Amino acid sequence: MNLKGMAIALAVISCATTIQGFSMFKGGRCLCIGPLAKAVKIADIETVSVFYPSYRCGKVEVIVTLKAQNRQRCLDPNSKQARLIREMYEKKSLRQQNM
Amino acid sequence: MYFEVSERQVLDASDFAFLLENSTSAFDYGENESNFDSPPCAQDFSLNFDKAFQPALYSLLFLLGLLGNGAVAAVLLSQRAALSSTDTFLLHLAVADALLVLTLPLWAVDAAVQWVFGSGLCKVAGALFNINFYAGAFLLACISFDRYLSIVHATQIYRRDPRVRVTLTCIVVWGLCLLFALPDFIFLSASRDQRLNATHCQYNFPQVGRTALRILQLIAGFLLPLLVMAYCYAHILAVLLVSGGQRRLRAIRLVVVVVMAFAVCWTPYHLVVLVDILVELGVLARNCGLESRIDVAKSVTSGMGYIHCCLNPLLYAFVGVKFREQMWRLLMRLGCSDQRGPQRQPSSSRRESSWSETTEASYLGL
Repeated sequence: MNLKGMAIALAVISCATTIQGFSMFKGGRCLCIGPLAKAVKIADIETVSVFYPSYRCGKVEVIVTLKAQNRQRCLDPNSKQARLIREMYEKKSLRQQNM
Repeated sequence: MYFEVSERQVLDASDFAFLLENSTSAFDYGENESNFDSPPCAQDFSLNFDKAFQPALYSLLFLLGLLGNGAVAAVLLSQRAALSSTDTFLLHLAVADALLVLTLPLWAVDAAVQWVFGSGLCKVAGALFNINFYAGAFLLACISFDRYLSIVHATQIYRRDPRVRVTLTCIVVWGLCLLFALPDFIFLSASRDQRLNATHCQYNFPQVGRTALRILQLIAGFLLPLLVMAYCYAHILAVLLVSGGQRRLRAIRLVVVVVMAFAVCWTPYHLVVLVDILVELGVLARNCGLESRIDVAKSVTSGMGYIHCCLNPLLYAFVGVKFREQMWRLLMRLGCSDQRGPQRQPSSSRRESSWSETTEASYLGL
């Protein structure tokens, strides 16, 4: 076998070993997998959380907790309302980081 | 580049006051806003399961694995001068297994609370875990190949110049494992997981090509060693079946048990990973219940895999009569260290025989 082929094979295998899904290297899965809401009534909103891409989940997710029965809903992160919320979220986070 | 926040943060009603005032420009609420419900997945079930299951199993395996593999290492080290090639692999296997179970208490704490040991220990423990996981699989393949050569081909390549060749093989195995662990040192770190709202030891690995690489891992880390073992032991079985010998049946039984143990311990885990990969590829439909069940199944089946570390001493060493004799001798010596009885030196025939049963029996078979 030529040296180059072996080097490539080794590199691929060594990368493969990092990806194994042993349950000890945990990360949160994507939370929103159903259909996404475009928007919710602002007055109904109790709290909002924005989640950014991580090792296990490559998406931005916006989760709204509604006042009624503490129900949670997933917002389409690219909808107009979600974009506004994300802007506010990032501003608030920056403010807190600078404090 | 994405915006990054490490802490889970929440916007509350006060933050929306501004939005409420300016919300005259109506949002597009979609078709049927009131019925349209897409609740996020609840992760409590699998997380709560891990919180109870992993610490319990890991502490048990830690004790059993350390005890069993420690005993094997002690016995083999006490006979260092008389070790056959298989015995040397067994010694390395015991060290690999012991080092792997040594990291389990850290993962138990990680599952019960969160990763509290910092990034440095995350890299070291993760790398140690993976090095020894691969070392274990490769050494099992080496043992089967060594037995295959000596029984089927009767070419005892390791016995003519055992020291050098066995040492060289072991260096290659450990070197390969170290190479495989290099990415662990680079990509593992203790980082805050927003979705789990806790710090965990995890990979900061780009998502691209993750699935393809996981399929490769399935092949390199499991199927390859299993195939080598199956091939070698099948040929050994064929030889044992046609040849006579007192302990032939015992040896055949052991061969079957050794391969079965590896397959039974690791197959369920790799099947679950396969299902996980299918979900990731979109072959199976995503749903919260399935994903939560996959997480629980992964936790249980990887636990089964770690049990294999505690089985190795039983399968490879404790079954040998000579091994048990030597262990009692060591324990006796520990028990009454002041009265130095006449200690029998190993007879010259021991030099040629092995401490493990299948190889030992193979001499009778041949």
